[in-house]
Amino acid sequence: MNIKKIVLAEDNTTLSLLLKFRLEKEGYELFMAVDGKEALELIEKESPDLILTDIMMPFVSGLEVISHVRLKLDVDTPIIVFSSAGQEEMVLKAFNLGANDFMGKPFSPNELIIRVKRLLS
Amino acid sequence: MIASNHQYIDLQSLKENTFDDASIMQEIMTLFIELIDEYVIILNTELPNKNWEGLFKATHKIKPNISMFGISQLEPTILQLENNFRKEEHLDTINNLIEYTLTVFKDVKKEIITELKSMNNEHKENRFS
Repeated sequence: MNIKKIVLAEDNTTLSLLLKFRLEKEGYELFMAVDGKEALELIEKESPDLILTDIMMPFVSGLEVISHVRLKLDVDTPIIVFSSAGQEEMVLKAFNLGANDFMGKPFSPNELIIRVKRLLS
Repeated sequence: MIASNHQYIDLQSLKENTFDDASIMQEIMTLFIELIDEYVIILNTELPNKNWEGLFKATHKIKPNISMFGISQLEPTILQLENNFRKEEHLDTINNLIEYTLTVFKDVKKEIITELKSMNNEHKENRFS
Protein backbone atom coordinates (compact mmCIF):
# COMPACT_ATOMS: atom_id res chain seq x y z
CA MET A 1 0.00 0.00 0.00
CA ASN A 2 1.29 3.43 -0.96
CA ILE A 3 1.46 5.57 2.18
CA LYS A 4 0.79 9.23 1.39
CA LYS A 5 3.33 11.71 2.70
CA ILE A 6 2.34 15.01 4.29
CA VAL A 7 4.64 17.89 5.24
CA LEU A 8 3.16 19.88 8.13
CA ALA A 9 4.66 23.33 8.77
CA GLU A 10 3.39 24.86 12.01
CA ASP A 11 5.32 26.68 14.72
CA ASN A 12 2.86 25.91 17.52
CA THR A 13 4.23 22.58 18.76
CA THR A 14 1.07 21.48 20.59
CA LEU A 15 -1.11 22.02 17.53
CA SER A 16 1.34 20.25 15.24
CA LEU A 17 1.64 17.31 17.65
CA LEU A 18 -2.13 16.95 17.83
CA LEU A 19 -2.48 17.09 14.04
CA LYS A 20 0.39 14.63 13.58
CA PHE A 21 -1.29 12.21 15.98
CA ARG A 22 -4.64 12.46 14.17
CA LEU A 23 -3.24 12.28 10.64
CA GLU A 24 -1.02 9.31 11.47
CA LYS A 25 -4.12 7.54 12.82
CA GLU A 26 -5.57 8.02 9.33
CA GLY A 27 -2.56 6.24 7.85
CA TYR A 28 -0.55 9.20 6.56
CA GLU A 29 3.19 9.67 7.02
CA LEU A 30 3.96 13.04 8.60
CA PHE A 31 7.07 15.20 8.25
CA MET A 32 7.16 18.08 10.69
CA ALA A 33 8.61 21.55 10.24
CA VAL A 34 8.57 24.34 12.84
CA ASP A 35 9.23 27.09 10.30
CA GLY A 36 9.07 27.76 6.58
CA LYS A 37 12.77 27.11 6.05
CA GLU A 38 12.51 23.60 7.47
CA ALA A 39 9.33 23.07 5.48
CA LEU A 40 11.08 23.87 2.20
CA GLU A 41 13.92 21.49 3.02
CA LEU A 42 11.45 18.69 3.81
CA ILE A 43 9.38 19.39 0.70
CA GLU A 44 12.45 19.14 -1.54
CA LYS A 45 13.70 16.02 0.22
CA GLU A 46 10.45 14.07 0.65
CA SER A 47 8.34 15.18 -2.33
CA PRO A 48 5.15 14.96 -0.26
CA ASP A 49 1.66 14.25 -1.59
CA LEU A 50 0.23 17.15 0.43
CA ILE A 51 1.52 20.25 2.22
CA LEU A 52 -0.11 21.80 5.27
CA THR A 53 1.33 25.16 6.18
CA ASP A 54 0.60 27.95 8.59
CA ILE A 55 0.75 31.40 7.00
CA MET A 56 2.70 33.09 9.75
CA MET A 57 5.94 31.30 10.64
CA PRO A 58 9.47 32.33 11.56
CA PHE A 59 12.17 32.87 8.89
CA VAL A 60 10.15 31.87 5.82
CA SER A 61 6.38 32.49 5.77
CA GLY A 62 3.69 30.16 4.49
CA LEU A 63 3.22 32.46 1.50
CA GLU A 64 6.88 32.08 0.59
CA VAL A 65 6.55 28.31 0.95
CA ILE A 66 3.64 28.28 -1.52
CA SER A 67 5.49 30.56 -3.89
CA HIS A 68 8.59 28.35 -3.79
CA VAL A 69 6.58 25.18 -4.41
CA ARG A 70 4.60 26.60 -7.32
CA LEU A 71 7.21 28.81 -8.99
CA LYS A 72 10.63 27.37 -8.17
CA LEU A 73 9.84 23.66 -7.81
CA ASP A 74 6.99 23.97 -10.31
CA VAL A 75 4.92 21.18 -8.74
CA ASP A 76 1.15 21.01 -8.18
CA THR A 77 1.23 19.28 -4.79
CA PRO A 78 -2.01 20.23 -3.00
CA ILE A 79 -1.50 22.87 -0.31
CA ILE A 80 -3.78 23.72 2.60
CA VAL A 81 -2.94 26.91 4.49
CA PHE A 82 -3.80 27.66 8.10
CA SER A 83 -4.86 31.21 8.82
CA SER A 84 -6.34 33.26 11.62
CA ALA A 85 -8.90 36.00 11.91
CA GLY A 86 -7.45 39.19 10.48
CA GLN A 87 -5.40 37.33 7.85
CA GLU A 88 -8.04 37.38 5.11
CA GLU A 89 -5.79 39.37 2.81
CA MET A 90 -3.01 36.82 3.22
CA VAL A 91 -5.44 33.98 2.48
CA LEU A 92 -6.30 35.70 -0.82
CA LYS A 93 -2.59 36.02 -1.57
CA ALA A 94 -2.16 32.33 -0.71
CA PHE A 95 -4.89 31.39 -3.21
CA ASN A 96 -3.36 33.64 -5.84
CA LEU A 97 -0.02 31.93 -5.32
CA GLY A 98 -1.64 28.51 -5.79
CA ALA A 99 -2.93 27.25 -2.43
CA ASN A 100 -5.80 24.78 -2.81
CA ASP A 101 -7.68 25.26 0.45
CA PHE A 102 -7.50 27.03 3.79
CA MET A 103 -8.47 26.38 7.39
CA GLY A 104 -9.18 29.24 9.79
CA LYS A 105 -7.71 28.72 13.25
CA PRO A 106 -8.95 27.47 15.59
CA PHE A 107 -10.22 24.49 13.60
CA SER A 108 -11.35 21.00 14.35
CA PRO A 109 -8.88 18.22 13.46
CA ASN A 110 -11.91 16.27 12.17
CA GLU A 111 -12.58 18.97 9.60
CA LEU A 112 -8.96 19.07 8.53
CA ILE A 113 -8.98 15.30 8.00
CA ILE A 114 -12.03 15.58 5.74
CA ARG A 115 -10.27 18.21 3.63
CA VAL A 116 -7.02 16.21 3.51
CA LYS A 117 -8.89 13.11 2.37
CA ARG A 118 -10.70 15.08 -0.30
CA LEU A 119 -7.47 16.46 -1.72
CA LEU A 120 -5.67 13.12 -1.58
CA SER A 121 -8.47 10.97 -2.95
CA MET B 1 -10.14 10.61 34.33
CA ILE B 2 -10.05 14.30 33.43
CA ALA B 3 -11.32 16.56 36.17
CA SER B 4 -14.02 18.98 35.05
CA ASN B 5 -13.94 21.30 38.05
CA HIS B 6 -11.09 23.59 37.00
CA GLN B 7 -11.57 27.31 37.06
CA TYR B 8 -9.95 27.97 33.69
CA ILE B 9 -9.15 24.90 31.62
CA ASP B 10 -11.62 22.54 30.03
CA LEU B 11 -9.94 19.47 28.57
CA GLN B 12 -13.04 17.89 27.05
CA SER B 13 -12.22 18.95 23.50
CA LEU B 14 -8.58 17.85 23.81
CA LYS B 15 -9.76 14.54 25.20
CA GLU B 16 -12.08 14.01 22.24
CA ASN B 17 -9.49 15.10 19.68
CA THR B 18 -6.90 12.69 21.09
CA PHE B 19 -9.40 9.82 21.45
CA ASP B 20 -8.71 9.92 25.19
CA ASP B 21 -5.13 8.74 24.62
CA ALA B 22 -3.42 9.60 27.93
CA SER B 23 0.09 9.47 26.52
CA ILE B 24 -0.46 12.03 23.73
CA MET B 25 -2.54 14.21 26.04
CA GLN B 26 0.28 14.32 28.58
CA GLU B 27 2.77 15.18 25.85
CA ILE B 28 0.57 18.01 24.56
CA MET B 29 -0.07 19.33 28.08
CA THR B 30 3.65 19.29 28.90
CA LEU B 31 4.43 21.17 25.69
CA PHE B 32 1.75 23.74 26.50
CA ILE B 33 3.40 24.47 29.85
CA GLU B 34 6.64 25.14 27.94
CA LEU B 35 4.77 27.43 25.52
CA ILE B 36 3.25 29.37 28.42
CA ASP B 37 6.71 29.84 29.96
CA GLU B 38 8.10 31.05 26.62
CA TYR B 39 5.18 33.45 26.17
CA VAL B 40 5.51 34.89 29.67
CA ILE B 41 9.23 35.52 29.08
CA ILE B 42 8.46 37.33 25.81
CA LEU B 43 5.77 39.47 27.46
CA ASN B 44 8.14 40.42 30.26
CA THR B 45 11.14 41.15 28.06
CA GLU B 46 9.61 42.61 24.90
CA LEU B 47 6.98 44.86 26.47
CA PRO B 48 9.58 47.24 27.96
CA ASN B 49 11.31 47.20 24.54
CA LYS B 50 8.02 48.07 22.84
CA ASN B 51 8.72 45.29 20.37
CA TRP B 52 5.12 45.20 19.10
CA GLU B 53 5.86 42.90 16.19
CA GLY B 54 7.57 40.35 18.45
CA LEU B 55 4.69 40.59 20.93
CA PHE B 56 2.16 40.16 18.13
CA LYS B 57 3.93 37.06 16.77
CA ALA B 58 4.18 35.50 20.24
CA THR B 59 0.50 36.17 20.99
CA HIS B 60 -0.52 34.85 17.59
CA LYS B 61 1.53 31.69 18.18
CA ILE B 62 -0.06 30.82 21.52
CA LYS B 63 -3.61 31.69 20.40
CA PRO B 64 -4.61 28.18 19.15
CA ASN B 65 -3.91 26.80 22.63
CA ILE B 66 -6.62 28.94 24.17
CA SER B 67 -9.35 27.02 22.39
CA MET B 68 -7.43 23.73 22.50
CA PHE B 69 -7.42 23.89 26.31
CA GLY B 70 -10.87 25.47 26.59
CA ILE B 71 -9.62 28.61 28.33
CA SER B 72 -12.67 30.55 27.24
CA GLN B 73 -12.23 33.29 29.87
CA LEU B 74 -8.93 34.30 28.29
CA GLU B 75 -10.04 34.21 24.66
CA PRO B 76 -11.29 37.83 24.31
CA THR B 77 -8.19 39.16 26.07
CA ILE B 78 -5.78 37.26 23.83
CA LEU B 79 -7.65 38.38 20.71
CA GLN B 80 -7.60 41.97 21.95
CA LEU B 81 -3.87 41.81 22.69
CA GLU B 82 -3.13 40.24 19.30
CA ASN B 83 -5.08 43.00 17.55
CA ASN B 84 -3.55 45.80 19.58
CA PHE B 85 -0.01 44.53 18.98
CA ARG B 86 -0.65 43.95 15.27
CA LYS B 87 -2.21 47.35 14.65
CA GLU B 88 -0.06 49.08 17.28
CA GLU B 89 -3.15 50.77 18.69
CA HIS B 90 -4.73 51.23 22.13
CA LEU B 91 -1.30 50.48 23.56
CA ASP B 92 -2.17 52.53 26.65
CA THR B 93 -4.67 49.81 27.66
CA ILE B 94 -2.45 46.77 27.24
CA ASN B 95 -0.94 46.74 30.73
CA ASN B 96 -4.24 45.63 32.28
CA LEU B 97 -4.74 43.01 29.58
CA ILE B 98 -1.23 41.66 30.09
CA GLU B 99 -1.61 41.58 33.85
CA TYR B 100 -4.84 39.58 33.48
CA THR B 101 -3.20 37.23 30.95
CA LEU B 102 -0.24 36.58 33.25
CA THR B 103 -2.55 35.87 36.20
CA VAL B 104 -4.70 33.46 34.19
CA PHE B 105 -1.72 31.65 32.69
CA LYS B 106 -0.22 31.22 36.17
CA ASP B 107 -3.40 29.44 37.29
CA VAL B 108 -3.73 27.54 34.02
CA LYS B 109 -0.24 26.13 34.57
CA LYS B 110 -1.21 25.02 38.08
CA GLU B 111 -4.35 23.34 36.76
CA ILE B 112 -2.46 21.51 34.03
CA ILE B 113 0.23 20.36 36.45
CA THR B 114 -2.49 19.06 38.79
CA GLU B 115 -4.09 17.24 35.88
CA LEU B 116 -0.76 15.74 34.80
CA LYS B 117 -0.11 14.49 38.34
CA SER B 118 -3.56 12.97 38.52
CA MET B 119 -3.04 11.25 35.14
CA ASN B 120 0.32 9.89 36.30
CA ASN B 121 -1.20 8.53 39.52
CA GLU B 122 -4.00 6.93 37.57
CA HIS B 123 -1.46 5.34 35.22
CA LYS B 124 0.47 3.91 38.21
CA GLU B 125 -2.74 2.58 39.80
CA ASN B 126 -3.72 0.89 36.53
CA ARG B 127 -0.29 -0.73 36.24
CA PHE B 128 -0.51 -2.28 39.69
CA SER B 129 -4.20 -3.18 39.76
